[in-house]
Amino acid sequence: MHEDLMQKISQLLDDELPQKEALSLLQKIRTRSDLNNKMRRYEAITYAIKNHEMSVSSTSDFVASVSSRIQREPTYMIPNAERRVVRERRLTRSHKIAATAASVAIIAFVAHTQRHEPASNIQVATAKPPVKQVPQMAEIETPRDSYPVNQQINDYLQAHSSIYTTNDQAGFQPYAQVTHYSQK
Amino acid sequence: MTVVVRFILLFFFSIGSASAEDSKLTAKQILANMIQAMGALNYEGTVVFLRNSKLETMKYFHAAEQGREQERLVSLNSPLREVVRNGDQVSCRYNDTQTVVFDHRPYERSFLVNFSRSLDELANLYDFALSGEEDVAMFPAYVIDIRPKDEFRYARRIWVEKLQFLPLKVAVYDLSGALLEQVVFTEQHVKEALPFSEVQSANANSQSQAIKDNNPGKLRFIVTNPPVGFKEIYFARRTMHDSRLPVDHLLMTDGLASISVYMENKNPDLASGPRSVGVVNFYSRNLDDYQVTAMGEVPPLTVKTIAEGIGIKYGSR
Repeated sequence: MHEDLMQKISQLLDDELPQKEALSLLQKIRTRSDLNNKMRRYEAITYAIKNHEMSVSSTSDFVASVSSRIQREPTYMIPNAERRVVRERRLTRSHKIAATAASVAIIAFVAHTQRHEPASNIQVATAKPPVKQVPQMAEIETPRDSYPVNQQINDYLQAHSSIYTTNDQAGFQPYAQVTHYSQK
Repeated sequence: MTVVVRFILLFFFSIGSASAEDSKLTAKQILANMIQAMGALNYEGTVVFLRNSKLETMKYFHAAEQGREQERLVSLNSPLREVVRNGDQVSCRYNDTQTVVFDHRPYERSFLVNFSRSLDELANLYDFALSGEEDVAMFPAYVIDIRPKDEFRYARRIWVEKLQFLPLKVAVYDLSGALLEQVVFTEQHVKEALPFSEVQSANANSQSQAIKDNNPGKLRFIVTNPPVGFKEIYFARRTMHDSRLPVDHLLMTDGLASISVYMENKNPDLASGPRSVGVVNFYSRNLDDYQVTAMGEVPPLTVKTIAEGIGIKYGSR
């Protein structure tokens, strides 16, 4: 694994990585399990360092194993008081610490993912889109206007194509180039 | 394997491929037939426009007789109106106010899909592919993909009816493959003849002029290094926004996608930078005392590239 990738993961966790690089890194993490493991480990370490009170396992599958244990936990359909008793019986102190660390790691990962992923990156489900994928660099963040837009934009649209005339509302102000008369 | 043997194998392989291709139509041939059918046939139907997340259902008529063409759209929902294209002239009549608006649009051919250059020219910018066959409005249709060769234009897909070669559906996709807009016939009928609607003619427009080769007109600006394939085709000086101040309007096209470039006095209402309205992307910037805006149904990068390439031609009026 390249040193610069590890450096970037560290920057990402510290929220110091620029948005475009963060997006690119997250896409790599999604597809590469080694990077994913590295990020989970870094998250756990970061959490431990910042909280100064607990030590966590440094094995690469630590968080995953805890997550899978949580997944295997049965769902208790009994009142809360009884459930608490059962849980206390079943879980040891180390399990509780591990579960806490896993929860924090998962929350941190989800928060990072949601913050860095732009809406434009969402793939809209269409049948067999015929276009080639192009690099993200070609995309420009564009504020979206909804109708009605200001008069200048409206005039530009109408001058650009007659299609926008056909879609326009009645009573729009025709631009001066056109001939305008009333049949009344 | 010797060079001679390779040559012989290649030769026979080429002959075999050509023979197989002769029995089917290529995407380019289907599009050529479609363009011809759109201009020559009399047909009508109900067409749905999906643009900017809005649905608009209209009756569509195309009448052709002795080289003369008329295209009509009649809205089925409020505001009721009729849009008529007679050659270069487009009129829009609103039923409630009985107002008719005329415009001169020499660069547009159709409300459905515009091919303003030959397919051979377009082949430098787009790949044409026959991607399958589907039914649209109960008609079997060829599915033709028009894929851009770079990131400066959007992809299109056209469903062409197999017997008459009329377009049944046209869709535009953004760079990620998401659907941006589409035009779909829900029914279509080819007729022996269709009546021409009478529209009162408008006065000749004295403020516009067509841009021809070697004659850029009185453009007050120049677009340097536009994305490949985009050429200037039309220039008009218009008065807009009731300001009575002239706005220079330059239209550029690659033969399928078009971009308008506007230059007018600075306007604080329109912020510099990118913006979009539905499928249309804008990019504005200030240039000395002027504001220039490039806009069109193209990716944001395209309008930004064009806007940033605009320079003022000092001394021109």
